[in-house]
Amino acid sequence: MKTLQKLAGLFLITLFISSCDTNDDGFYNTEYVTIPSLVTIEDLDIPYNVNDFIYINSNFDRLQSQANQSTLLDLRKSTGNAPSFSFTFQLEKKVGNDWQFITPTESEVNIQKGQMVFRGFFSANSVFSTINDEYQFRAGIKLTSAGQYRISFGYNSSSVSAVELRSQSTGNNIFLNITSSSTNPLDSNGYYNFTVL
Amino acid sequence: MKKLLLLLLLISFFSNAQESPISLKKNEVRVDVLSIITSGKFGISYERFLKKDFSVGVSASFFNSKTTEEDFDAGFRNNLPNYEVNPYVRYALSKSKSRYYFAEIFASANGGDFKEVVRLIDNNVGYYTTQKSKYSDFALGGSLGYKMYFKEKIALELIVGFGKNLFNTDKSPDVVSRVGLNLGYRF
Repeated sequence: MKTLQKLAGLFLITLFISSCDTNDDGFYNTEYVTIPSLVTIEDLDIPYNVNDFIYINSNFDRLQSQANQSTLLDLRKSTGNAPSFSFTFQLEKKVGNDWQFITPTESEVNIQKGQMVFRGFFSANSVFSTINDEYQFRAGIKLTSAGQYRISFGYNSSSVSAVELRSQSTGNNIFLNITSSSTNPLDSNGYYNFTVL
Repeated sequence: MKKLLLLLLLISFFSNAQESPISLKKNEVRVDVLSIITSGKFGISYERFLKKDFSVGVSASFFNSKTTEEDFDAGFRNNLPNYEVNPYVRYALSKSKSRYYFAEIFASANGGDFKEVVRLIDNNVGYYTTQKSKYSDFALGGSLGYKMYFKEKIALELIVGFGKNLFNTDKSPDVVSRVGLNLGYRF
């Protein structure tokens, strides 16, 4: 009986180990690069007034300068013609001492280029234009009441002070993860603060 | 008392008589049935039994798993083992010749495909792409197992062991496993 128990135990261990016998952790079709200033908060309307839109821009050429490289990087070719690059951001308003996420209605969002969906946070896609040979995104969110607001790019991101864009690559093509520093003034926690009058 | 001694002698005689045919058979071939099912690996082994509970042998495994290849192409793994050749030395830990635990040390010459992301330049513009190459490495390791015989010639063997690749782990897997449920024939 003891031998049978030992045998059963050894068999289970064998079965378990045989299913995980190599270093197959991680994802290897990913490349991480740093390219500055791919996402911008338009601040032309400062100070904002009630019912103004605050616009987020992400228009960038397929060829980009890359740190520590002497040649431009072709984003399109690297990703097997990825149709878009995605990034996320959040818009919050101060209510009392708390910050509350803004949940806009459909009419309070103005998407001019690219795609954007609201999932508790904003998920944006900078979509490739074959006409202009660049990735394009521009969308605005209506500021419906006065007060203090802030935008952050930290949702689902490991970086506070930069925006992370990820190529929407298909098939077995490379996923390009771009860390892009912001051109807007962010505070130490990665927030872009502004006021609506 | 004499009857009891006679009975003990008879039992001893028959028990030895049962084991002696196995001991006389010095060769064994096996197929790893577990790996064929779980990992698409076809493994065959030969073992030669020596004196004093020692045996030596060699195993050869060839990989052909569609799932593993798909994972490799999709980037869920960066290496794709193709073959392993494992010479080994075993020592039987139990006295019985028909059912026993064993320990072994083994070497492994193994190789396969490796994939990495590289930056290339075309017409003075850089781009990233995946590039495949071959790897080969040499591992040392140890295993424990249990073996039993049916009808003194059909072998069933469970083995669990690990080896560590030594020379090319930038490309080869860090660990080489030696895990199997082997069905064999002793002659």
